[in-house]
Amino acid sequence: MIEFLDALGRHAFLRHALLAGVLASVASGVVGTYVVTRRITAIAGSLAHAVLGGMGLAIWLRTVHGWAWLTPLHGAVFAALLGAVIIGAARARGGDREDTVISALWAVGMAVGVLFLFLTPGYKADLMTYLFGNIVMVDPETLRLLLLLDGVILLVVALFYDPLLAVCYDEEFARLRGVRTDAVFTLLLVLVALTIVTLIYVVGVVLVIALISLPVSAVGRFSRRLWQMMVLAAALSSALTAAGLALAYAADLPAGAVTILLAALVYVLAGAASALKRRA
Amino acid sequence: MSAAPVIRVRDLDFAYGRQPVLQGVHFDINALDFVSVIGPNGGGKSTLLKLLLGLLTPRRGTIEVFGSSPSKARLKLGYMPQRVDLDPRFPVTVMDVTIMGRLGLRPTLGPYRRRDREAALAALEATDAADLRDRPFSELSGGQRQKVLIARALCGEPEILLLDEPTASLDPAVQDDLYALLNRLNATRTILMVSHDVSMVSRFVNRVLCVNRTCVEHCVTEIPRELALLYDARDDLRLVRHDHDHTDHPPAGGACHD
Repeated sequence: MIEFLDALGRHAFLRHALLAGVLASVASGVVGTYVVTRRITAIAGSLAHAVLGGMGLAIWLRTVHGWAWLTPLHGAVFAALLGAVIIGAARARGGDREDTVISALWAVGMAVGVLFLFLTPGYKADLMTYLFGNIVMVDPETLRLLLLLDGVILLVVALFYDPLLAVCYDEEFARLRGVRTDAVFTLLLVLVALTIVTLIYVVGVVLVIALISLPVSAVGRFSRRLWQMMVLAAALSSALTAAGLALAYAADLPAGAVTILLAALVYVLAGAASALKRRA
Repeated sequence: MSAAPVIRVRDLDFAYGRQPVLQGVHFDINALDFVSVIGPNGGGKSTLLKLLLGLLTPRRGTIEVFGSSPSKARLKLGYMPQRVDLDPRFPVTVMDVTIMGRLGLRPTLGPYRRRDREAALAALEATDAADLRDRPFSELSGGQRQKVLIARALCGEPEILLLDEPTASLDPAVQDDLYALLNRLNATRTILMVSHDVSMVSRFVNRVLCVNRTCVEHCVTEIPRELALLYDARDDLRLVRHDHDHTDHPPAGGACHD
């Protein structure tokens, strides 16, 4: 631990990584609470994989067509927002299409990403980075964008807290009280999309789902109100990403995978603690 | 009382796909009526409520609520759903649930204001549930939940209360409390209540609509002595006379008010 703190003082990349982890954790704690309570982890998974398509496209345009201003993060934001709007629209139309659209987006996003990365010379090795995250690659510019995303997410949640809660808890009743539930739900998907983008660097496309849902589920048993769940989940998630980073640094392991396994461990322990409490 | 009915239903047909659920439904509800909608399971009672709320669209016929379409009149209606599908693990308190009734009466942006919290608390007091306000909703008993969901419908300041089986699965003592409460509310509001019991209704109910694909108005009578004994001498109940044949074209309401 002391060794890690010492390294933190010496290496800027570790400080950036730690900060990125905390920024991503704030977003995932707050928005993950909606994802878990509204039970839309499948949609979150689909958006996460769709993001790869946007990143691949951005990298291809940047490298092959010389769009130097376009970063993979821009592509990720674009794809995530597009995916959110597509799923929101499919849902508003009703029927059984929603499920199909979610699955299709999941696979098509991956396919587009793989294809564009294949077409981009010299970028094949980066596929692993996007799939499983590489938190130590975070640069100051990425940090600024993560900060901006956090700001947007927190502002929207603060402004729409009550209608979001109503739509997640009892959508039919919210509609009867004049809430435009389809619009609010699409707004929620946009929040999920932006949150996923913040998590891409921390744990990567494939592992995003776990970091969105596990800390929230772990604290869920100890929260009586939605905002308590958000605060506790953000705190736990920050602790997990920091611990994951420290462990990974000490043992020279991939930080994303270590963080997810820590999160799973805490989730299981929280479940066991809650079961013991109920029996006692 | 004004002559115009608050709800006017004419020649209403509804079907889920090819399965007809309601046919030729035709009735008026007047201001301050206390209507019990009865009928067998699957007869179309809840569907009728959802049509009145504009959650479903009629295949044929018209529904007017306060002279306009159901979806336009929505905010004047207070709906208590028959809810078993609310997620018991969702972290909400009784106050969180109740105050949702205020959603239509405030700006979309920003938090509930003091006025909303006061209205929610007043509604909880009216349903005798104010002391539960900080409890997690999922920890409540069935009767407590019904009271909170009625309070949620009330705090939106509705002119008509639509209640879907508010007394379902409640023991008789709690049912009596609830009917007494509804009777108090009926002094200032029209109440339309779906009930699963096809033979008995509360004595507070002034009209009974029997829905079984078609809709027929039934008369309510005192319970004969022999029957009253069977029903544990519940003098708060009235017997429903199922004299009508559902194949007849039903009268446009008011058949029992000679």
